[in-house]
Amino acid sequence: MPGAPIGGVISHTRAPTDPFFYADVEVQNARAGSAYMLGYLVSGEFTPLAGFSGTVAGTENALVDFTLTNVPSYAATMVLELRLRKGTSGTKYQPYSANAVHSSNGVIMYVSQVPDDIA
Amino acid sequence: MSVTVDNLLFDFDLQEIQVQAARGASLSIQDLINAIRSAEDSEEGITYSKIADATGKVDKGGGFASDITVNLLDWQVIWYAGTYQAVISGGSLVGGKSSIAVGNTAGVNCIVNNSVNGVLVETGTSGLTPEEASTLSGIKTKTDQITFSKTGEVDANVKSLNDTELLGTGQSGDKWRG
Repeated sequence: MPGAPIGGVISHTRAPTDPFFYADVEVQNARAGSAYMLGYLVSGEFTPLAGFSGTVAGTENALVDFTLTNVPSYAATMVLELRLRKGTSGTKYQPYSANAVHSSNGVIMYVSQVPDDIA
Repeated sequence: MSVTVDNLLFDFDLQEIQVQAARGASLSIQDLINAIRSAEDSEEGITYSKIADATGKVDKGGGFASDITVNLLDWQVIWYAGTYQAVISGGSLVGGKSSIAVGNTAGVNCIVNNSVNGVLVETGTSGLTPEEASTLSGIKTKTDQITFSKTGEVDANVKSLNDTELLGTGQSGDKWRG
């Protein structure tokens, strides 16, 4: 006589506001000392991603790579925008922004900031 | 949301650069762009689009460089309240809200000394208005009719002397006479 079935049901609930996925964003060739902020575009408008802003670490003005880990994606095709600003001290650079489509495999954003000879 | 740099208050919601009284009634373009770039990389400012573009300081040799032009991107400079004359100098300030770079402040007369040092003129054009060109062309038509059969002497048909019409053909029996 067979025994009573064993096991259970595993369920997972995804809230509408939950990200589709998380993946890393690697930023290459940024100037140390720059303020950075990562966001995404909603109808062309920049929306900051909380927790993904700060100052590029390293020796002032050195070219450095850094990685922003577990960046959420809130749309099947989400356009990221990285802003870099360095206009207060040391060698100044013009306001810079770069875009990329977020991917579950991660994204590499190569940036090339331009020195600001005016400010 | 706002940030203050060098007595210039940047209101990111109103998109205004509000000059504070402590700064005084004059503002140089160099100081303005320095403050703009500093405001843009602030914690608040980086969440907004850049405030202005700037060009200039191109080396022309001999210790000269082109002046600075600041193009405000839908931002305006607003002077502090009072009755005085304000001056913006040291370059050119363009752009702004509806292409007005300096907003109105009651009682303040603001002079913007936009410099023009070296302008590019399109080649192949005279720079004249169509009316001036037409007038000049008419003059040339007339001067082209002047003949110099003998160098330095204009050919002329003498019809009067001393405001009196000449009579006669100059031939024998019909001498010229007044």
